[in-house]
Amino acid sequence: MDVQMKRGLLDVCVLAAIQSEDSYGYQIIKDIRPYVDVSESTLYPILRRLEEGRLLTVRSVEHNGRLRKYYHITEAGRGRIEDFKRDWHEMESIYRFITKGGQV
Amino acid sequence: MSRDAFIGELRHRMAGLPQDAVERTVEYYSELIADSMEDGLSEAEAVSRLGSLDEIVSSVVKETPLPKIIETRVQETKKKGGSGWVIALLILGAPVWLPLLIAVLAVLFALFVALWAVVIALWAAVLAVVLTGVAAVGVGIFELIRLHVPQGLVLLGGGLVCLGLCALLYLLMKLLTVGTVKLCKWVWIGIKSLFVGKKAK
Repeated sequence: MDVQMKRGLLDVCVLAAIQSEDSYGYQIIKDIRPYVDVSESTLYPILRRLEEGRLLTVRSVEHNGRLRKYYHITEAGRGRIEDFKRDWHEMESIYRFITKGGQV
Repeated sequence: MSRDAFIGELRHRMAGLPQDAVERTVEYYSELIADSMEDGLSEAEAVSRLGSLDEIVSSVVKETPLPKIIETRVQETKKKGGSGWVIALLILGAPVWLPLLIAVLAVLFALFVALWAVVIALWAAVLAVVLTGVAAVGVGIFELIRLHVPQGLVLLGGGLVCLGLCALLYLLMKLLTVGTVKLCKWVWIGIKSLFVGKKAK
């Protein structure tokens, strides 16, 4: 898949992984790996980017005597998921146009 | 590799990056190792799943702007003992190192421009072949209509060869251009990496 496209998709996948409840790095990777190929070192910059863009917030929670970072989706983050869904409808109609060989 | 060895090596290779970026990265990877181990993986497995250190460090370098890296280096030098000497030497040595630095930057810039000039020139050459092909085919048809059959056929054939060649050249040029963009990005990360990581003992 195109690198730029995959990058955009991964952002939304990470947001989707935390949309129903807050999650942490290891769990996020486990949740999205069945669908997209993601490594530990690719997730890191994505989380940073999403945090800087205020699409998610981070808090540290004590777990087994150590700190674990939990990621929480913001309103802007939910908005990004909605944007993606809307874009996808547009993509679908373009896809149909392409597979029909350019005939409407 | 053990967890501590991994984290130690990570810190070592990230020396020169801003302190907060280093701490955040170390926290992130230690958390992943701890969570993988809680999930039943052995320490060695947990570490090996994180991928190569080179990859991890270069992904952090990619995210950090060059001025920030240099700023961190300068601050580190200031903090170290004997900094007065270093600063004095830097100022006294300015007539020597400043022109050298400018020269190095100029050479790098010249190389960058030359590289792209070659790419652009090659694209222009491909365009010239396309135009030649189109013109030859056009004139060829015209000659055929005027019943100058041999000349017409030669021009038509030559023109088609040109156009066919162009399809191949276009693919080659596309590869070359993408390659050049990648090379430039790679060199830029390389330049940034010069300032990161402690020197080998």
